[in-house]
Amino acid sequence: MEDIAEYAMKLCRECDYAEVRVEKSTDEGFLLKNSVLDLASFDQAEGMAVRVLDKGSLSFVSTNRLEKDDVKKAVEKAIKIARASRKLIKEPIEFSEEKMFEDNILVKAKKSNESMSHEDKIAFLKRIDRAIINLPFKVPMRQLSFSASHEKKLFVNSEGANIKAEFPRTSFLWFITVAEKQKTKQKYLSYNLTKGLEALDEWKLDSTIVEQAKALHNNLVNGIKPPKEEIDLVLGPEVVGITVHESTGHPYEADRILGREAAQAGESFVTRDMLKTKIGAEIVNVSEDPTLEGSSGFYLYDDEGVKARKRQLIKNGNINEFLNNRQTAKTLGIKSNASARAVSFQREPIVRMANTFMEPGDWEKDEIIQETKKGIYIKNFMEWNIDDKRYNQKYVGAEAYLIKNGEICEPVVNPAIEVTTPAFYSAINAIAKDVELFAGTCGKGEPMQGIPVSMGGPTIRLSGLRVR
Amino acid sequence: MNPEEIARYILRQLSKKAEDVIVNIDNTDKTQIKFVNNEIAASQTWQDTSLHVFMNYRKRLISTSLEKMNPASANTLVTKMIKFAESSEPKSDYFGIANGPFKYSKLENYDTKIENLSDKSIDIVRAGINGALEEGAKRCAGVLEFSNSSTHLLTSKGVDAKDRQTEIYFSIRAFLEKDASGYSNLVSTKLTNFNAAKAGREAGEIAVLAKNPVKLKPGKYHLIIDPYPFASLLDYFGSASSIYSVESGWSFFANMLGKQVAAPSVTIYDDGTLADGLGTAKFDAEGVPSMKTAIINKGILKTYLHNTSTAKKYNTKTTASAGLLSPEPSNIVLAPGKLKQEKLYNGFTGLRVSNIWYTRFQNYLTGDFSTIPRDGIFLIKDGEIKQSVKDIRISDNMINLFKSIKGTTKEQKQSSGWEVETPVLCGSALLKGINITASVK
Repeated sequence: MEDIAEYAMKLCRECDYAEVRVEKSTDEGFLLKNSVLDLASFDQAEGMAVRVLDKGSLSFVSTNRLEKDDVKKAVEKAIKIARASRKLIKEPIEFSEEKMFEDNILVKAKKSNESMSHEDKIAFLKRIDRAIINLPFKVPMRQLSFSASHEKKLFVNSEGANIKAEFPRTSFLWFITVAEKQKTKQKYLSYNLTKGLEALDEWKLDSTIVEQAKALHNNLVNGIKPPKEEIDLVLGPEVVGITVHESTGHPYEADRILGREAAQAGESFVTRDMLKTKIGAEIVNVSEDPTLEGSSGFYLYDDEGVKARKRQLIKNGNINEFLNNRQTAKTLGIKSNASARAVSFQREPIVRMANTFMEPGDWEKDEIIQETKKGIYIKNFMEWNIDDKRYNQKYVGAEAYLIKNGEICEPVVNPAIEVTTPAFYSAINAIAKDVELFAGTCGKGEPMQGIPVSMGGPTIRLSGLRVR
Repeated sequence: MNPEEIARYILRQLSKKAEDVIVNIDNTDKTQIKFVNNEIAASQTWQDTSLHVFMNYRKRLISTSLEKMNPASANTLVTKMIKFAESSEPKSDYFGIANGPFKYSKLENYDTKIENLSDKSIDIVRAGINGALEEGAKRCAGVLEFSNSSTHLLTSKGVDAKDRQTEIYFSIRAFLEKDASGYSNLVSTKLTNFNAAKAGREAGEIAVLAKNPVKLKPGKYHLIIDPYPFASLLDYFGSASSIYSVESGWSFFANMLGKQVAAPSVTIYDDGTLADGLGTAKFDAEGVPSMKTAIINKGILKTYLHNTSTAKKYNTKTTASAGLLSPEPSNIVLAPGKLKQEKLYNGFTGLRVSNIWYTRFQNYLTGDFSTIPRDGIFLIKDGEIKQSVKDIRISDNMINLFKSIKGTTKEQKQSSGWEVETPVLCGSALLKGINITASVK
């Protein structure tokens, strides 16, 4: 890795700035569909990315052809197009000045992928599948997939950065369809940790999926339509997670605010002059923290070599901080807060979230339920979306219940919240302590980069909203 | 050993033990020019060579890719694949790959002008941006992307076939103000007649028309959907027609064969032979010659998409849609409708939707979903734009939506991009009584 990185850096010596990422990964996966092992796979990939800044023009090149001639050809092509691009650049691109580091980050798996045989991995999937099949109702479609990977990367740049990182990753996805007569309900959930196979023990998949299937079936058989009047909403950590990801994390990405992702991922209702202005109730605090050990979005240095730290996006109900890379930081006249990430050597680093969550409050979850006279408890969701300025969002409950006089009662079918971002955060009047994080794959960029993140928070209550 | 020799070596070695082997070498060279605020934000180039291997060993299916193009890596791969298969489990409903060799069409979607475009691409970007600005837009963002790729497919059942393709893609979003934008998208396999300036003008024109949008009262509205957002919806019809989606719960076509799933005016093909189709290829992933298949004929679901194995499982014929695990559409083609674009708005009252994004399902089996119109959305009365609107959502059911189609245009365009994964050829669509929702606060 070092040799090819050094060679590529030499090719860029005439550029104002250059960085090289060399990455190597292995991956193994199993997919069980309706009790049949559909496919087993193992993959390996190795390649490099070079990014140069030359007289205000930014160019990126990626190759998995690592022979010197191929690397030379790729880098020369990138520099040629960068220079030709100057014709259409009025404001030269610049990066903020940052302290650079030499470091070696090694995350060790407590249980390595090799510690579990293929047979045991397949048996693990089949055990979960059997537990679902043995339920006293039909779950006719079941998809369970497991994968374990190991990633190694080297980042160097012309300012002296030299960061080596090596880490395992374990992922799981389940998708079930519960049926009763002609009606069905569906739910999927993904899991992802920067850990070895010890993650499988933490997830308690058997019991989680079985409990979820039972809840969906109960909703299918006993569910009632949601009430139409304004009502209190109690949202579980999974719903809070998707909300803070979509309507805090994304609109606070400085590249959106400055228009760089306008074509596809969109812009933001947040403008640069909205910093320190009110966006929600005073009890609301939303943070972003890549440094959470073992988390899905874990890293200690971003893909521009900047040292990672926790970011406080909303502080006491006010917009407090945006997510920045070196380019947006320079434009805004501040320092980067290490938000540049690339999903692989095949993608340029852009501003991304890592682990986004609402900070805990001082309520107990049960206390919130008990002190709600009439409301809906939405534990988790299936359908969701948000407009591309991150202002109008929709979340539709999968498992949801009516709350009457402080007690959880009958299930509610598909309660749909459609609300603007300020209205959502302003309606929050109780925040519990039970923070949970959920894995996700966040899509952004063109070409698309689906990057591992996590999102979560505690149980919260909102007052006076209508659902459909 | 060069990549082809390595591929043949792997095929020979694995074929000694495995019943089916497929080796595929893909080469892609791609360039992208990204522009933001009327300026180039970044240029990106990719060069990629990949060698993929699929193997059936006693019904145990293993897929992998080769890390390095050398004999040592190839030997490691062969040993590891067999070992991996021995510790795996049989797929009871697997029935093999296609028996070749086959004869293939000589049609090739390859244009050396795209291969050699290089830094001349900047002029295309400039033309697109200028087109939008000439219409009155203040700023625009987007990408120009062009690539040339080749594939060489070898199978243990006699297939030894090559194909190559070029593509060019221009995507532009123009803004008049923060809430007034327009989008246009242009794709082709040939550079001739690739008119980025026209795409820029389309995006600019919509942006200007979208000035001063207001909120809209939720309810049922008739819709005219432009080709790009309609392509995005048709894309879901394509993926839902894969037998893999049907079996695993990701499809609203489960148990719908022979049933009405769209209006009688709707006929939809999967067409791997489409001239200038981005998804056109000589053969599918197991070497079966590409073909044209009617998925929906006059609103009736006629078939799911199959590879050789799934076709045998369901006692039908392959639609040349391998994907070895999951059959996939190539180009989704809507049979041209009878409406003329120039008369489409005559007497129409309802909404024009020029783009959508973020389509998500509450239940893939029932097709309950919502999607968000973006860029220009226009309230039309008696064929005239009455008002630009914003902040709405289409919250409906996919089958209901396609049953609500009252007509589509004769004129069509090919779309592909962020919201259109499989290339789609279609025109605009006129739909009656679609549910529109909005934020309650």
